[in-house]
Amino acid sequence: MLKFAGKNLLSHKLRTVLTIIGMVIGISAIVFLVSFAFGVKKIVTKEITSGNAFQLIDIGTGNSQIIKLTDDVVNQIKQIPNIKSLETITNLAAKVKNEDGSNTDASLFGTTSKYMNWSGINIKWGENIKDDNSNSNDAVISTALFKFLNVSSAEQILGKQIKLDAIVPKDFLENGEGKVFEDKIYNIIGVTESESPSIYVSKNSFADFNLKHYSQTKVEINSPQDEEKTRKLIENLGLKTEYVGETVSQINEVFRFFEIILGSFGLIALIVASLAMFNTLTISLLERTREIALLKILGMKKKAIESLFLTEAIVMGLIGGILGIILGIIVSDFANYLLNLFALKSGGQAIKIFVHPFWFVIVIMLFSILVGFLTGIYPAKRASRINALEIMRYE
Amino acid sequence: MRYIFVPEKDNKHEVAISVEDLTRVFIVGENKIKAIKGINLKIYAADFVVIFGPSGCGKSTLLNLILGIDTPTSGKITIRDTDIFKLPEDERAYFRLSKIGMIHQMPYWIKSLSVRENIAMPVIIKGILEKNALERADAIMEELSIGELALQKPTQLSGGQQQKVGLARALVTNPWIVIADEPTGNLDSKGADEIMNVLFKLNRTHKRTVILVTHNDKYWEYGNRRIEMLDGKITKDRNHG
Repeated sequence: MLKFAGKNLLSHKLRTVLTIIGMVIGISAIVFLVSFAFGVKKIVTKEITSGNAFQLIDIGTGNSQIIKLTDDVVNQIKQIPNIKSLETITNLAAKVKNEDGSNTDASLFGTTSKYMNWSGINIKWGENIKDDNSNSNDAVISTALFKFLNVSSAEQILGKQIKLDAIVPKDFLENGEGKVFEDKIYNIIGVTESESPSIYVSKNSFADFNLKHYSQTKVEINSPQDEEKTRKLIENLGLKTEYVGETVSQINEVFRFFEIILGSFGLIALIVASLAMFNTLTISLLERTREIALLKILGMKKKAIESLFLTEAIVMGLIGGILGIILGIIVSDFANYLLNLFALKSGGQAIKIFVHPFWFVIVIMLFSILVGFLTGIYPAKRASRINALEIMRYE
Repeated sequence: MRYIFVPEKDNKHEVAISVEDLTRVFIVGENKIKAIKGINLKIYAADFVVIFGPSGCGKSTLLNLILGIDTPTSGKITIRDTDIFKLPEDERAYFRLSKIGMIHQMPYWIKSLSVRENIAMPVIIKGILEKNALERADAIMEELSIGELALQKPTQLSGGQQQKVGLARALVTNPWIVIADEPTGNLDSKGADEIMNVLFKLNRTHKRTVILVTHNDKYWEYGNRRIEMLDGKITKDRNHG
């Protein structure tokens, strides 16, 4: 049956090819547009999350002057069920000093490598700070400090030292007065890419500052389903929580709409293509009434004639679908390549703006088979109802 | 034709086709056209029936009814104990496919397929594996000495060759009955004689029932029974034994 259908299609090469091209354009338009929507969504969600976003809850104190994230409070949070681990960050200001006496402002963070990972701060060169209890002087700096430090690449700065004054605001300290710890020296072991000048050091290196509390903590939870319950328990301590998963869901919501809009444009192209396919099948039916009459006279069953036409339609749909997906991927990758070429030239970074997940490819494939089936079903029914005798009589 | 046709047993007196009180009325607009006006006929298994009659006498309608392509207005047709119009359409189609071979004046083809595939078509439709069907087609082509045409397209062949291929396709299912509707109408006398000889051999050697519709009085000598039709009725039915 498949072979027979294939031969029929081949015997009208031009018509078959044109019809399939129509399908290919329709399908590739869908692939192109929807991959674009997927890609943009991925970029945006990646910006705000890092991997396990649905397992992380941010905890802060808001503007509260009474509740602070002291060790006591932190220990209370740790007692809450469903909390797997907790990491803190303390945010101070720093004056980074250069050998020539000049200085610049930067943020100084005392934290752990785990917290940095959770926040999506990735070490691009070198290595991250260590989370053991040693009072280490290792530091990770951001690329934004390169200019001030008179270096142009990470290699030039790794292993060097950085000198700074750590400025502790008053609310961190017992006596209610701010304090400056001068000339702290850190070894630069890693570099992260960022526009804002920041220095990340181990929280243990803040030990001699005698700080009362942390700035923020993040907790990792065991089961994201219980996120609401856990947040309520944390908020009962007077703290404010923020759940990235919530934001991601909202963004996903927005992008679903975006995908539907773009998908609909592609769908219009595909509808035009399937009308063309429908037309082709109907013409082919009219042209082949004699052959169908012959098959009927020979004794072919109605169902078999029907499935012959359906097979032809589905074969066309499937070929159109496969080629359409390939073309869509090629075109979108090429567009991506051009875009990146342009982006790199103007100093941006390469991104993947077209994403075609495997499941999407499968869905489109099934979809094109469905289109073939739907456009084929009417001509197939009609073919099976042909009155062989009438055809013969007109000979 | 040793390979393809197992000779049937001596079947001189067995009724192959029984037609009883058959009528067929076509309604064209407001006119009723009576194409068959009450035909009773028994065709025996060993018969080579030659049907004569002018155009429009109802020959083709009668053949279509025997083939089960058309349905009668009244009456019944029994082919070897099967009342064919009691069968549902699809089963009747399958019955025709298995038991009756048909040759037309102008053969119909599946143009996209080769001669070999066209011949194998009825067997493939029957649901037999394509490979086996093609083997059968090869065997029958060899029997009819048209093996060299196998890979050509049927529409590229001459009228005589096409008719032989049509005959091969009619015989590939090893049918009980072969119905030929003016098979020689478009052929020169040499081609026509070849076709007639095959039909003759089928009937005498292989004991197949043959029904031939023709205008050509010359072919009378091949048959054992002459039926003349006029105006939807059988006017003469003579058996020459």
